[in-house]
Amino acid sequence: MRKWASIFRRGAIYCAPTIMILLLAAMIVQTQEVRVITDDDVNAVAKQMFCLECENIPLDVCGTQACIQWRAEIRRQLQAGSTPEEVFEYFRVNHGEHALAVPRDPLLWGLTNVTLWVMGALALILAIAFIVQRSRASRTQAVTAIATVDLPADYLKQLEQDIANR
Amino acid sequence: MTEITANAEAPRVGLNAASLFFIFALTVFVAVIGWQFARRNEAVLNTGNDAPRFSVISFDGETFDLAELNGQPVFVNFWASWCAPCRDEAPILERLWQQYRDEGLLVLGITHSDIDRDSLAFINEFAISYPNAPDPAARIYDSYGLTGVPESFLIAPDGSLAYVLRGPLSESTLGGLTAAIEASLQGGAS
Repeated sequence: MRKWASIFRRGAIYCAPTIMILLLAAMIVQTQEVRVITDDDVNAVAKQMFCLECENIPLDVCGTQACIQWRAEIRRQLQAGSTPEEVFEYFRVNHGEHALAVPRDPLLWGLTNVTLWVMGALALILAIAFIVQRSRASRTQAVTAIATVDLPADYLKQLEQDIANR
Repeated sequence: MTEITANAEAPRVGLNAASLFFIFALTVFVAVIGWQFARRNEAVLNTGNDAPRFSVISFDGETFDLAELNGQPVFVNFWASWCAPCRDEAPILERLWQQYRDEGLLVLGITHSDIDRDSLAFINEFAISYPNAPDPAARIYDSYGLTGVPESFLIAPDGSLAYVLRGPLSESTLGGLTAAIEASLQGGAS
C-alpha cells in the first residue's frame, strides 16, 4: 500500500508541472484571437489596387502570376496583423502610387479627382462664352446693317409722312 | 417703287477675344498631348544612347551607383519572379556572370513589380550569385522606358548603351551579347 502511495506521490511531482504548463499554453492559445483571413478579406484590399502589368485591371480580378503573388502578399500581411491602410502603404512605397486605385498623395488625389471636373467646367464656360459672343456679334452686325442703309431722300420723306399720318 | 440699297458696313473679319482665347486653349491642349507623345518616344532607349544614371541598394545591402562605375561595363537585367521567360534566362545570366566577372563585367539584376520575398526565393532557386536589387516605385524601370520584363541593357564603360535586348536572353541571342561584352571590356562600345 505504502509502495503505491509512493509511486502516486512521485508521479504527481513529475506530472503536475507538465500539466500546469499544458494548461497555461492552452489558456494562452485560447486568449489569442485566431485570425482567419478569407479570400473576401484579401479581395476587399485587392479591389482598391491595380495590376501593374495589365493596365486597368483591378488586382482582385486579375489572373496573372504577378497578381496571384501580390494577393498572396496581401494575405500574408493581413495575417500578420497589418491593417488595409498599412498594406496600401507597403505597396505604395515599393511599387509606386499607380499601384493604388486612389492615390494617397494629396496632390495626386486632387489632380486625379478635380482635374476632370475643372476641365469639364472650363470647356463648358468657354463654349457658352463662345456662343454668346457669336450671337452678340451677329446681332450687332444686323443692327449696324440696318442703321447704315442709305435711303433715297424722297423715300424717307414719304416714310416720315406715313408715320406722321398714323 | 423705291429700291432700298443696302449700303451696310462690311462685317468684321477679324477674330474677337473669345475666339482668340479658344484657339489659344486648343493650341495649348494639342501641344501638351504632343509633348507627352514625344516624351514617350524619347524614353525608348536604343544602342548608342546614354544610359540613364541610377543608384540602387541590393538585397544584400550594397549600393551600386552607375556614376561611380564608370570604366566598368555593366549588364543590367530587369526581371521578376512571376515572369516565366525570366526563369529561362536566369541560368544563362548566371553563366555569363561567372564567365566575365573576373574580366570586369558587372551583372546587375533589377526586379520589377515583385514582392521582395518572392524575388529572394527566385534568387535562391536559381542560385544566382550576381547582385540584385529592388526598384522602389519602378523609377529605374520608367527611366529606361521599359514596357515589360525581361529586358536587358549593356552599359559600356563610357556610359552609353552598347547592347539593348528587349525580351529574354537565350542561347540564340547570346552570341551578339557576348561580342558586345567583349568589345566593352576592351574599352569601346560595339
